[in-house]
Amino acid sequence: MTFAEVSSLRRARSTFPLLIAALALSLAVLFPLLPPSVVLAGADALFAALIFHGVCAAGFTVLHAVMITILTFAQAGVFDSATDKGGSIWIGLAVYCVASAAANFVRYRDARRVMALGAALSLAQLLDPMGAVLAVFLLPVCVGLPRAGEAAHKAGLLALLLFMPVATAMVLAYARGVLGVNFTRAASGALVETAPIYLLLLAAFAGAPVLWLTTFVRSLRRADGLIAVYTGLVVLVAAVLAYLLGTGRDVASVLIAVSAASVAGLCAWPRAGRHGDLALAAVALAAVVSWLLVNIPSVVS
Amino acid sequence: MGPSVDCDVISPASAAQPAADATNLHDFRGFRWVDLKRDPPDPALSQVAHIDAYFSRLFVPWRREKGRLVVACAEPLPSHLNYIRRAYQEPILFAKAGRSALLDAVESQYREKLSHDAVYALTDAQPALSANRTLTGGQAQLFFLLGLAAVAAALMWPRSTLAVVAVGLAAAYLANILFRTVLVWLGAAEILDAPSAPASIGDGDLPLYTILVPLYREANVLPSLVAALRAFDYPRDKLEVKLIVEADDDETRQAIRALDPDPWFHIVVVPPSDPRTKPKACNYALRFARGEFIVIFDAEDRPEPDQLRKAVAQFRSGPQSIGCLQARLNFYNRNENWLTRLFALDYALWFDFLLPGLDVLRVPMPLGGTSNHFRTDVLRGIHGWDSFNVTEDADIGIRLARLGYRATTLDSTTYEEATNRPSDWLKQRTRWLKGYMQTWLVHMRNPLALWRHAGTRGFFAFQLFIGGTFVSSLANPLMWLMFIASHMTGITFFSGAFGEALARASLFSLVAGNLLFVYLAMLGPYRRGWLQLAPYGLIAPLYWLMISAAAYRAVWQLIRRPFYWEKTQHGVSRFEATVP
Repeated sequence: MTFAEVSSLRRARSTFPLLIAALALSLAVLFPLLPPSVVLAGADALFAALIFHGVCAAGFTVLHAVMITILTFAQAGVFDSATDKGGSIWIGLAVYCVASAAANFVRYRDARRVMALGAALSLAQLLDPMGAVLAVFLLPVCVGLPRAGEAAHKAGLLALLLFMPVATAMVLAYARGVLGVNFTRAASGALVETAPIYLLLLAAFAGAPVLWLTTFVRSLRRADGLIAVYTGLVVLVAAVLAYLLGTGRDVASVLIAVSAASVAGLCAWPRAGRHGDLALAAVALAAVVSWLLVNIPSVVS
Repeated sequence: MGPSVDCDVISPASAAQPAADATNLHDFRGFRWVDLKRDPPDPALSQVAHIDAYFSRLFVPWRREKGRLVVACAEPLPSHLNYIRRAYQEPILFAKAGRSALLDAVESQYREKLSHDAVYALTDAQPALSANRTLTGGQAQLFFLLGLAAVAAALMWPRSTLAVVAVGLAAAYLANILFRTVLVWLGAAEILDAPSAPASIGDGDLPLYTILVPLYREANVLPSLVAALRAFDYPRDKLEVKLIVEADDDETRQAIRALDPDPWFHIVVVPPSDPRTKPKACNYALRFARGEFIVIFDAEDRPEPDQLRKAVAQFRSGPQSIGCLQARLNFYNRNENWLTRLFALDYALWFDFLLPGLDVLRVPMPLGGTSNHFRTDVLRGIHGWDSFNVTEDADIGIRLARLGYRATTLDSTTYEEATNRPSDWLKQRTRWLKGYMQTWLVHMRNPLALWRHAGTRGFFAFQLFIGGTFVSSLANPLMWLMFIASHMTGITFFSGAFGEALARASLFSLVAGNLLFVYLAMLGPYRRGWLQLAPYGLIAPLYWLMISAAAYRAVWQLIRRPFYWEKTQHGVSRFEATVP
């Protein structure tokens, strides 16, 4: 039973994006006024709604969509973030928005997807400094995958895609430097502790069975899915950069970023609905691995 | 003055039949032939009430002979003959006449009436919807009181008044650009690009299509105009082109004669009267239109050859409530200089995203000046264009919506010539913004009626899109001035914590508004794949300031010369007029 096959759900489907947009807008406008616990609950709900909607839209059954959403939240990184024990749900939101927007752009390349990708990269910067790294590494690759006849205008396309993230970066810098307002810090959760580099790398590789499948199984591979894989790689690069710069990154943050990229990846599987069980198995495996990974430090010590 | 309707002037009606009348000869075999140029009809027999029937069914009562009314006809369709019999209820003798001579004769009899109707048809029928008065008495009083209150408040509480004005401007500024962003998002849906099916209608099923081309001192662009109209993929016997010229424009008339165009090109000469506007000329020619559908093109337009077929397909496949289709417009000389590139970005955004966005929202759509395809009966039913409005196109889009019709977009492009000199651009933009102000004032004479007719969504869309366009243009330089002044001089316009918040809100509006303006300008050419133009969007704030200059000029003109039509000079580009 897919989302589109049930009439009441089909009606709900048309209003679901509006509800998600309303929730996102409410959070964006009201977050300075709300208690942190309410903001966190709102972010959790938003992340879950986005995952559910994305998985349904990809053609998975409602049951699979519900299970994938639950299993994604059962992963250690997301669970910790959702319950404010570590990591940041905002990173998950940022990475999911960027990965799915980039995948959709590569697949459709229409004006609406251009806007969505620019907005996602801007939003990512507001939610986490890693957004800037995503923009720098992701956009040239997206633009570098031209459709027939587009090659001549890559510079224009790059300028168009870069505009929103660059403008956001400039506005954030101006706000921080001149007005003394730090939007980024206001939205981000606090870092728990910096994990050792080997653990960050292990988390990025072992926590992403969906992305491995997307990369190496021919029947699951498509250009937009590979963009989600690439987003996962950029997350890894960002974690290493953060470690080298001494700004820190905990395992939960890396895990949640990878799981967010993974959801975007499985949404890009060709004929996704036929691979529902495989997707469930991969997300479940990621959940198990994630709990092992977050417990390694205590086992080692 | 010569005949004002000079139809078929290239193959004048005479004993030697014009080509267009060849089919009539067969049908009139055995009928008497009358030469209406030599023996004009008896004016006493004609009736004003039948004037539209004379033009649409091509007949005129000629003489009374032996107790029978002799009616001269140029098109003997059974439906026409039956109509005439029903209309007169007396013994009738039919005679044959040349089409052009007949039109000429009718026009000669009713020239004053036709000229009056071209100017005042809307004003007489629906004075509340005509821009013949810039402000109503109530509006004048309201604006006077508001002005008085603003001056008094500024004298008594200068800082607070400034704060209120600044916040109001910032809010309007941001609301306008945010609404445009929403429209672009809606208009960017790919489903709008689903092609119509022009090939699905056979030639035999295509209706008669009337093309209106108002001309004024455009002799230089006539050859390429005629070539563009000949390039239409549409049966010649189902086309009629009305080249509309002003009575004092001998140069253009001579140029048309010299070109010797096909018989389906007709010249309509508009008698002199005020206001001298394009809508008045079009209204005059509308009386002579016989097509089921009608479209208006400018002299420099290069429509895509399948545009008429697409329009017919879309009209036929859509509901009857669709009264108008707006084709997309852009420029063939977009790469001529920086101004034409920015203008192309502007048009691409407007016609490829904003108007489709309005279409998705099902709210009133201000039409562009050309390539508007109408159902002729709908256009006549709403009394044509408003002769006093200098953006009659925008006004008619709103009026259609208020009267229960829908205007929607047509996926076909007409390429035009962009003004390539700042002075010409400024004149053209001044007229557009003045027209937007006129349109806003006309439809806000009774805001409740507008709300009732257009619906809540339509009402607010009207405020944001029509009102917001000129208000944001007027606010833009003021906000820049305040920003620059406060940074250069250190003057703070607002004091206290509340004042600080207002200053930040104002700054946010300015920055966000300009960034979005740039971004939307860069996005404009995306759908057409003209991404090499996108980087020019970075200088869009300069373009916006130019629009602001035009807006202030428009306010001045609205006060001094509300109906003055600043003519745009065409045919100055060095680029060849072609459809890419």
